[in-house]
Amino acid sequence: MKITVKTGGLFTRLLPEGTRGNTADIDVPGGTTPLGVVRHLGGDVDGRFLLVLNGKAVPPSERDANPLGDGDHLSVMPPLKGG
Amino acid sequence: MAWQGQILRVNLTRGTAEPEPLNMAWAEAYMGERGLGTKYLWENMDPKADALGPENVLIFATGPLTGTMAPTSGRYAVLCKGPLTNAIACSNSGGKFGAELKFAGYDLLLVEGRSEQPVYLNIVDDKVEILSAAPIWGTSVWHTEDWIKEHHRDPLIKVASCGEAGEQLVRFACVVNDLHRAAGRSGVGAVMGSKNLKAVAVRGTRGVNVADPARFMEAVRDTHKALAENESRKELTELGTNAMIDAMQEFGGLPTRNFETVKFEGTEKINPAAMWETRANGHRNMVTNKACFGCTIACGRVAHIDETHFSIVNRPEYRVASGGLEYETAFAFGPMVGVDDLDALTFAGYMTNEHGYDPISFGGTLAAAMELFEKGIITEADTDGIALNFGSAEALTVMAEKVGTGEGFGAILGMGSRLMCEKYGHPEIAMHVKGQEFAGYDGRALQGMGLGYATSNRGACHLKHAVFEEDMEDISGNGKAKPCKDSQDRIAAVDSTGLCLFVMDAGFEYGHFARLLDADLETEWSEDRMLETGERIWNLERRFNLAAGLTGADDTLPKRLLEVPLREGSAEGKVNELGRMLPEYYALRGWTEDGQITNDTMERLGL
Repeated sequence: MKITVKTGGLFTRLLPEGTRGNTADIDVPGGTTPLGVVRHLGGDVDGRFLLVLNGKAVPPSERDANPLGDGDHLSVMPPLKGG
Repeated sequence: MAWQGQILRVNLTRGTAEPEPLNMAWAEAYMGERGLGTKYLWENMDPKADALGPENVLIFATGPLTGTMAPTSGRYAVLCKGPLTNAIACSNSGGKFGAELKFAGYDLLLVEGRSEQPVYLNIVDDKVEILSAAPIWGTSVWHTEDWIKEHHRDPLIKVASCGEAGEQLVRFACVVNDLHRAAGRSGVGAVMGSKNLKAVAVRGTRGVNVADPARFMEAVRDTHKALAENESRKELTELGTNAMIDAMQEFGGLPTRNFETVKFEGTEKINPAAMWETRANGHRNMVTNKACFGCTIACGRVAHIDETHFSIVNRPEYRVASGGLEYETAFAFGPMVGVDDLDALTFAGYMTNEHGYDPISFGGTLAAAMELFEKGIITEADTDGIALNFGSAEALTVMAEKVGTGEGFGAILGMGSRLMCEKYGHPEIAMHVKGQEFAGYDGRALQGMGLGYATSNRGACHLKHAVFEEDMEDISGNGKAKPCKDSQDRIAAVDSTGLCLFVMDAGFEYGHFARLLDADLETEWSEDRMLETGERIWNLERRFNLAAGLTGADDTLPKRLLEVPLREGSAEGKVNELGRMLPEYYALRGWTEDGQITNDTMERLGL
């Protein structure tokens, strides 16, 4: 299953080697959840981050609940905080 | 002990400067910096006084950890009644000035009255002089600092000054120290200017002692370690606070074109990646990062402008490395006014530092002017011939300079969005709370942020509460009142320590503050005592505002946030649910239904 991942902050380092910019199309197994994508990319799933699926934020409590679909767009961003 | 045990009271009307003992009972009850400064303000002025009159009091307050070995211990706060809000103003700053004030032997500087002629204070330990500022009146922050160091032949002097914006009583003028760090919000620089006080120069040679050095250094080592290992700290160091712009864009909470929407098409031209990108001509915006006193985060940006950019092509004096974009400047000069020209944003940032005014309020006021212009309410006849269209980099750079110098329409912008929009008969276009413009978070997308904005004692502000976890979990107003209230109290205490709030997102647990304070001071400090102190501070600020004439009716948001649903983003279709959250918040605070502090609450907190 192919999805598009967009990253922000230091999460850009999680994208596959050779990626230009902050967005990559990646293959993930069927049934992968938004949190599973972070795990798939080698990220710290216990860390703090914001996930946005197809333009809508995924509540932290639902990150590992629903599997993604082919063609979904997932953003992995730093957590919201004061700046 | 970490306190020097004395404050400096300056009366500019009488031309006197006298030390007096620090009121230790107040330091015990209100800790320091924000809390202690609030108590001194409350006890030394009538809250009904004219914010720009001689009866206003201007306070520079350090915290018990300011100037110590604790991480980020360079903070101090500037307090007064704010001319932008007519409420209490409390803005804190980093850099090195706060620690230097402590090294000179003063925990707090209190300035009363008004000098007939422009003056500056020159403090060298016990020697305090009130000197003529005639040679530097009418000049910038940058010139003032250079002149003072040259005049006194001491490059180690630390300077806090008000710039031309403060002299001209721009309602959102800052106090800027160390060239690029500012007590930025609510117009504290205008109060300094109204007193004809151009600058405070300070040189201190004393150390700061702590109560239990061995235990203190153990806590310092542990807190340094926590910062060093934390991922958010690493992000702040490498990318600065502007890393937030991509997150806010994706979430759909980035105020764009005066809160018309929450996503900005030009974000990728002004984000950290754009700042670090080397262009075809070899120019890169970012030069390096920079730290304040005692800080191992170093979130500050140092940048420079492409020499071929229109803003400086004939201005060689700006071909220098200076303060670069942080999240709030990027938001205020970018999405808020629809501009995606990185060099134009950087130039506008230079203007705010050089002339001494708040970028957030400037961006919010310019955005309101752009909406007035695009709706035909004002024309080029009002705006010195400049077309104030959203997206115009020329409008941004020209108006940034005009506010600084007070020229033409810049003087109108200097009124702030509330007074400016009232002047043109359209108050609904001004996006503010209590007169102060919003930071870069839309209160419809983040409900807890909206409640925090509405109830903030200094007007719209993103730094006095932290409800981000709850806002990411649930886009409704459910369950937001308690974390808003609790975080307000928590942050009021942190703001009173002398440390930077940013450590909270960079590895500090709340207990770290308590450990440092407990070893720093003679009396025992715990997390519970910090929270109780924070609640006391919050309520004293509220009491000041109520005495100044504000009421519960001021705890509100613009109609745009309450009635116009978002058309995109995570919270598409939402308005802010303040009407539901506010009564719950008042009840948790122990206030009446109309926002008055009850006698029981006053008694419980020792007010």
